[in-house]
Amino acid sequence: MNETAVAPAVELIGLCKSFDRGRVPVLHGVDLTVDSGSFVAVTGQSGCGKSTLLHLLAALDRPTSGTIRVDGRDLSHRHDLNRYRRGIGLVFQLHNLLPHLAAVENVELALFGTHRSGAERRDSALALLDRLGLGGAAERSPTRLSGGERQRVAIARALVDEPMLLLADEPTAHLDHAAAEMVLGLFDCERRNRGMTVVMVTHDAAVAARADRQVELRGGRMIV
Amino acid sequence: MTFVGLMVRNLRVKPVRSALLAVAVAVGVAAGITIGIVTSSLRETAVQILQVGRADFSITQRGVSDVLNSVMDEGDLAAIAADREVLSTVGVLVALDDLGADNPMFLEIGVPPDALEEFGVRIVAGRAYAADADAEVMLGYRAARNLGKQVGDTLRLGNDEYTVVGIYATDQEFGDSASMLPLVHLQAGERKPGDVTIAFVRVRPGVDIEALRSRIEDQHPQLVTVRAASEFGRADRNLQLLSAADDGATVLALAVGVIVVANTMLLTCLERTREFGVLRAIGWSRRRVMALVLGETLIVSLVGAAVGVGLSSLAIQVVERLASLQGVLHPEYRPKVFTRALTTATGIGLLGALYPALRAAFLVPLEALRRE
Repeated sequence: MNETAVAPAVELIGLCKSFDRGRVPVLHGVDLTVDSGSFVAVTGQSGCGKSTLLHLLAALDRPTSGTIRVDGRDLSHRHDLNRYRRGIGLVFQLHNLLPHLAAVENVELALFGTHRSGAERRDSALALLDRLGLGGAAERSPTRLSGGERQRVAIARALVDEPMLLLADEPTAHLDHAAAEMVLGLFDCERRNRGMTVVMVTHDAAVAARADRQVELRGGRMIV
Repeated sequence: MTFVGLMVRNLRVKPVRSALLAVAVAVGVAAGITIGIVTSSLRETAVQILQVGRADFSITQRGVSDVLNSVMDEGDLAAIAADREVLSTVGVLVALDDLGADNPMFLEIGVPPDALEEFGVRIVAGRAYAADADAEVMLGYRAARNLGKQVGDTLRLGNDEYTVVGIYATDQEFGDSASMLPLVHLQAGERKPGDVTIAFVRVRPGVDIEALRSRIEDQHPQLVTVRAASEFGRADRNLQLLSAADDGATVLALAVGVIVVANTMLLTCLERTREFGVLRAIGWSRRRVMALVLGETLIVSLVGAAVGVGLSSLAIQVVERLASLQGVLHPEYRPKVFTRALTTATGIGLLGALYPALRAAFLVPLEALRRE
């Protein structure tokens, strides 16, 4: 059995992060192991460091100390962070859609540089939007979509390139029950079919209960 | 959506800004092209002076600001003509006359009638003037057309009245837009007896022309020989200054264009910081972000280039109508004009967008995402 085969999808060892030159500590030695294909819900009060944890995992920021390993590779040793970011799906808390592009075009953005033709990019984006119940809203600007619809477009953008790791920051926060179920169902489907790993930050206890495992951040420390 | 399509969509977010940016590039391109065309046209016209005669090379006075100010002694010309390697020489005197607002710089060329054929002159109507005639003139066919004259008409040059005895063609626009008179008569009228402005030299077959030129310049250091159009600057310092002014103005237009583009793109990129943060966060490489910014600028620049060519065309039409340039400026839109427009626009666009593109590409994604 080789080492890569048994490596967990995500491994955090003694992860610390502070801001303002150490004056504002946020994470204090977080340890966490996430198995490949599993669904981990990260809960905790506002300001406890959940989003910071996701940003570190998405390589959008660097830890003050500690190690992040994804698929057995230490992120601090990777020089191809663009490729790494392309390989993960990231759902922002604030959607971060580009208002001058249609919903489908926002989804297509994640497929630029993937060797797919324009038509293939569009077909993939439309198919995913359809699965998220947004087939009729594909050509609409994000400014003409509801908060829940925007959230689903952002989820589609994160999933369209079929990532093996999905990092989602409150992906169901703006969704009604039916839409939230649709999204969670899609996550389950992707996990079953492709072995996608999900690390989701949520305040919703019902959503967290759907996870294989719940971990709580409290005062910057992980409470398992 | 293609990558180029995305660029166009981005440019349409701020249509007025994109249009103004294109105008800025267009002005830079138009300035560069207009100055370039005017300079090259003036150079072309000036060079034609030395190419009217079917000569192997021409001779003028060394160091004059304008070749028309050249003064050569016919004695020197006779000495050159005596060289065994020289087949023939034709000395001509060139003078300018003001025929009014439409023809402020009408050229009069004094040529001996027996040298007309050797000088490349074909009589297309009427006859050549007589060697001792003091009131006969021939007009180039373009000049005759512009002045509305034909054989038998009269023409006032200076204070004298002349009869148009012939219409000629030289296959040179410059020569065809001028008039010709007996050399002796023009020398007397201009109070330059025994002087000529330019000499045209034909050599015997098999002669080493460069060696002959070198020998003439050694023997007559006050003279300079010109063989190719590119050497015309040797005889005309104004042309050298004109070329330098052309280069300087082009560099200046380019620099101003680059600064305007850089300023505008920097502002645009600053406003789009969050957008670039999103793109980087979802896996776009720095190279792709740079390509996006540079590509958008390139599209605007190409539009600017097209508009610039149009603006330049209008500007040249205006310049062409200036009384001081009537008959002197004959602009030609050669392919290199459009190449110059493209390279200028591309240069302005890429240089101007380089720093903003680098800034966009090297944004820290998380910091960019936090920017409002």
